[in-house]
Amino acid sequence: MNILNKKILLLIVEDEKMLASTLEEKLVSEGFEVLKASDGGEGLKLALDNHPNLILLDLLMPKVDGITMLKELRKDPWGARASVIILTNLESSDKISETLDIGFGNVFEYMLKTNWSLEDIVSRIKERLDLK
Amino acid sequence: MVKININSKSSNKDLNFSEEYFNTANVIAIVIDVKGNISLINEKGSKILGYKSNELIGKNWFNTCLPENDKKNVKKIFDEILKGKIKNYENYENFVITKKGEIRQILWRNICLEKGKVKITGTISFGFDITESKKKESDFIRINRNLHMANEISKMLISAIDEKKLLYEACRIAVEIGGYKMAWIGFVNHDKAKTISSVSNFGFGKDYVKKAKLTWKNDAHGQGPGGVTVRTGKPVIIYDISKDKSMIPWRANAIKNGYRSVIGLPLKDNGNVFGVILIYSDNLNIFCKEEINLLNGLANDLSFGITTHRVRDDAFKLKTAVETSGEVVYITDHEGIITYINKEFTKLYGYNKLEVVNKVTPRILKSGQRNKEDYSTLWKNLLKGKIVKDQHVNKTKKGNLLIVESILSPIIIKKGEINGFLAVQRDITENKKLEDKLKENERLVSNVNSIMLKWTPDGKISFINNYGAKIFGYRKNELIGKDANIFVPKKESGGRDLNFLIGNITKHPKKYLFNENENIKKDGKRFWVAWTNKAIVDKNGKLIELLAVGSNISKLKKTREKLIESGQRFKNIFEYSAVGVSLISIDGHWMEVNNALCKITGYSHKELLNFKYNDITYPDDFKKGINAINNLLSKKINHAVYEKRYIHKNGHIIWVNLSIALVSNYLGQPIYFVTHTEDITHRKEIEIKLSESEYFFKESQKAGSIGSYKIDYVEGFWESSDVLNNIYGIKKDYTRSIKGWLDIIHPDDRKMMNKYFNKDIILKHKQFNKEYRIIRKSDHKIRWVNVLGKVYFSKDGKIISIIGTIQDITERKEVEEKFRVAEEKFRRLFEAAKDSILLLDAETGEITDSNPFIQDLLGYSAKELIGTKIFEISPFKDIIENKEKFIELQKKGYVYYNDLPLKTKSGIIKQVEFVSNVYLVANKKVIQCNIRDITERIKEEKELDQAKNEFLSIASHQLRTPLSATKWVLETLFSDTNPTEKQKEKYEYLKISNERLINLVNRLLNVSRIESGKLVVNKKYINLDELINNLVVSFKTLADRKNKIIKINVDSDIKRVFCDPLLIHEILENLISNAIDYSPVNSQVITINSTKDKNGYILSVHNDGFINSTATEKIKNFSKFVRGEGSVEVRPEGSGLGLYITKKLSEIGGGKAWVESKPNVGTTFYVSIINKQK
Repeated sequence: MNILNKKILLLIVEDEKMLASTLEEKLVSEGFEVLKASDGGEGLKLALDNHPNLILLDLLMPKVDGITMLKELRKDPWGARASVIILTNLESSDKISETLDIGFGNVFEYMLKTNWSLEDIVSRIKERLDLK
Repeated sequence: MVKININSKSSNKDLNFSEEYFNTANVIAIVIDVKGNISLINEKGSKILGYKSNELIGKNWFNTCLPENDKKNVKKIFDEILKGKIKNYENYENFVITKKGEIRQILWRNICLEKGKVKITGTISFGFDITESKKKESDFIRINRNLHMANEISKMLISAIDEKKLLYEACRIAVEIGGYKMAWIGFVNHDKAKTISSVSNFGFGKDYVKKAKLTWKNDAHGQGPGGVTVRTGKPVIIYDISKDKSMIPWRANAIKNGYRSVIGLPLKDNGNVFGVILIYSDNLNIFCKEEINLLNGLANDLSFGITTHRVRDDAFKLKTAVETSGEVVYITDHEGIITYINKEFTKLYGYNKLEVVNKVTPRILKSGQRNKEDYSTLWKNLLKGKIVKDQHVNKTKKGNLLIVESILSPIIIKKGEINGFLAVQRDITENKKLEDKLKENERLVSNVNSIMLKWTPDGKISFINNYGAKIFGYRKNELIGKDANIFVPKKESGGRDLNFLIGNITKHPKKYLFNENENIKKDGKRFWVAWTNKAIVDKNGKLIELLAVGSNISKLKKTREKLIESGQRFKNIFEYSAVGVSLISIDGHWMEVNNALCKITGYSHKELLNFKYNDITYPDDFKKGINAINNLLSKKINHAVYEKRYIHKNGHIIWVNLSIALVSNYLGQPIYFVTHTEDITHRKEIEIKLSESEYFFKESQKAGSIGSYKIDYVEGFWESSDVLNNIYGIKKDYTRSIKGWLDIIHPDDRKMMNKYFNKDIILKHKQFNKEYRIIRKSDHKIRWVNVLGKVYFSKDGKIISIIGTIQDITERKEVEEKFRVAEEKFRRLFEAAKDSILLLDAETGEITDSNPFIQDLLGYSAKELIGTKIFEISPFKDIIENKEKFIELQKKGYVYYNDLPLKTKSGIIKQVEFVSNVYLVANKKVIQCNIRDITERIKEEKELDQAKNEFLSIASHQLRTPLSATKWVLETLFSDTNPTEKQKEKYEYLKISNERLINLVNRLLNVSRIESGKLVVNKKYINLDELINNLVVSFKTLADRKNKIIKINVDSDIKRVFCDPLLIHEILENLISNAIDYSPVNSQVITINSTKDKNGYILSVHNDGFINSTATEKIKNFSKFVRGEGSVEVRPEGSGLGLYITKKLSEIGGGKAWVESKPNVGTTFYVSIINKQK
């Protein structure tokens, strides 16, 4: 889907392969271009290299976790303003506040995977990217 | 020598001549034969002897003509003449007795008659009657003697020191110089029996005087020379006691004593006979005219001597009394110049004799506090010759004011002529108030003999007692309401104007505290009353009534006036003195006593004068008096003052303060003692009570087991009280030497005591204060004593003595020991405790003790801690920041901090638990702080906490991961294929089951997070409006699906609210999703409202549905796992935890959650948000 005939690139940072591929499948079917990373280190590299329109970020991941990646990302001039939706199953107040501290404005969205259907996630992404 | 020999051969002529001569000679010529018979006697001889010419011839010479007493001697001489032992013509004198019994004195010359050369025939004697010449000769001698005697007596009269001596000397001189046998002096008594009492005597036969019992009455004993002399005032002479009839009562005794004659001579004063001197002689018929005149003159001299002596003596006595009197006495001349003051004047007013006498008038004493009227009345009365009793204020030399009571009297020597004035004054300043009270009370009580009168301020009589009415001659009823002036004459007999007396008393009751005035009876008779007036006032000082108490002093006044008018002014002073005054003779007899002394002792004047001074002295006090008198007589002291006891006439003991002085004459010989006696019984009673309280003090010492001691280091012995003897277990016979003292000290303590004594006492001069052990002598038991002592040092630093107390403190020590053991136990616990303990003085906050553990913990030494205030030590600055907080702890008594950072000395922060308690130790508040290092525990807890959190995160994550995978996979399951209806049905079921599982997991995780307190509130300023809008947006999909519209109706000012956004987010999320899920199908609108309240905001979520009351009740409780009625049907996947979580979360945020449900209104859930920075 490309309203302005311009490809919209999404980055999924998710270590759980089943979840990542299901989400990728859904988003691709919706017309998004999708990049996948299975940990924060890989995610940061892809994000900084490709400057995706939106990053769907899991928190609890092996090697480099989502918070660390987000912190690193905010240090980058582009990354500081990059749109991020936390999409995770981790529900720790500490973690959430930590995340919110890093970028309230751009990372308000904190979505618990279990609470969101794929359909809802897609419409939320679209809203976020003003595609609706 | 002529030898006449009758038988010689002389011529007859010669013989005739001889015979002629023999017969006619003017001498006695007598011839006595050897047998003693008269052979011849001439005419002259017969005549002298009173016989006829021949009557005597042949009679025995010795038996007939000689007095009995002379017979023997004369016969002896006669025999010796016959034997030739006595030469012829030798002169001999002897007495002869005439026929009439007269005694004549004859001078004889005797010749022995010889017949031949051998035979002696008798004697011839020639006698010259020398009776008359002899008498003349002895008269001459006596007159000579009497002149000598007169001379001696005159000398004696000048030098005699007292009357007694004078009288004695007169008698002695009469006997020793006058040559009389005995002399005595009798004084006339004006008693009923008219006796004459002997006052002095000298010479042979004192018992004669004793037995004489002379009178001057007309009875037998009054007829003697004494009695007659007294009655007639003329000399009386008894020439021959043996023959005079008037001497019958005394004759036998007189003759026995050898008195032959006596003369009585009167002793007169101003013509009045007051005594008689009787002089006895062993000769008959003496006292010729000249002698009588001379003796009479002597008696006159003696009288004069006695009276002058008496006057002088009286004057001297009285002057001494006045001089030493406790009252002020001064005399002025008629112009008012002071001519005499006594010592008391100087003492009271401060002026001495040199300043005052003959220089000034009594005006120097004026204080100016007396009105002129009074003063002139006083002078008027004085000038009229009246005695004035007065009370006024005088000023001393220094300017002090004194209240003085005076008796002023004019001195009248000749009638109508005032010679001067006498004032007797007493300082009553001190007594005044007491006296006022006393007098008033006394008079009130003994109203029987007092007039009691009350009148109102307008002068009307309001009360009079029976006595008063009676004395004035009225009935009581007649008087009430009458003017009080009725009792007062307009003018006093002396001329004083009394018109305004009652008015003046009413106006100035204080001025008229005492007044004496003439009063008038109903029948017009006048009498004098001494009044005491007193104003009776109410609380505000307003005069209600005047009370006057009066006593009839008419008699007293008359006597007093008489006394003074008769010139006995000093007597008055003496008598009216408040102090007992007496004169006591050297041998201890009262000579003079005054009224005050009589009053003190209870005896009358007469009774006292019969006593010796010691007769009424309490026997235990004899010694005091004897000592004082001996010291006075030996001139060691000239004045003695001591306290002694007399026995009152009623038998009780009176204490007096006696001041005694010896009065001597100008030769320095003691005459008598003057005493001043003050009754101090009352004071003594108080003193006795005091000594009783001392006794109680002693008793209480006993009770407290406190003994006292005195160690005399100079003499090397000590004294101990009875209590101390008990403590030491020693008896009276214990050797109280220094060694004896040390022996009692416990041997183990001796070394220590020796050190203490040398170091602290001798070197440092400290006072003795030590507890040590002794071995009690009586039972050899160890006792603890506390010894206190004041140590007295000599100038060179040596110990003179130690005086102090010793208390047996064994029991206390035992208790202390028990405490010490217990303390030791606890001290060990304290020291070994794994807790840090600090003890503080609760009043000041000072650290009083610390155990090693806290020293390790904080890195401070005990020294650094103890004495420091807790809030001054840096580690505690945060706990007890200032005194106020410390005071709070004092009040609360308990403080607990479970997790407190504490900085040690080296700067390391330690986590401690701090518990503080306040409790009492021996009535003193102590704070105990237990400080436990919980750094490790906190660390462990933190780690545990971390682990818990990790677990929750991991658990939630791990649970959710498969659930989310299932969720998403299910969603994509049929995206490329068309499932059958049956497949679709099973697929939906799977989906719902998965959703329920997700929901359940979410809620359970929430609850466990809330309940474990792991939910951290993180408040910040947020835009609540934006949060709500975002939330509503996120529900849009769900709401649209259920056909609901969410309306937001909030204040615009909630754009900046201080709260936890996540809490609010979750709360609202729960309420909105509930509203979407459970509101009735026909109810479309869900409204979110906000209202302001005092603490912040109340957010509410409203829908139009109504939940019935049973359901509301359940929902109201927001319980876990309770679901609203029908909710299962509406939403089967509901967990029943949503409202519970909402409630808990709002409480965590500081607010509340509640529900209201009304039919036709709908259901509203409320949540309050606290908009406050803590």
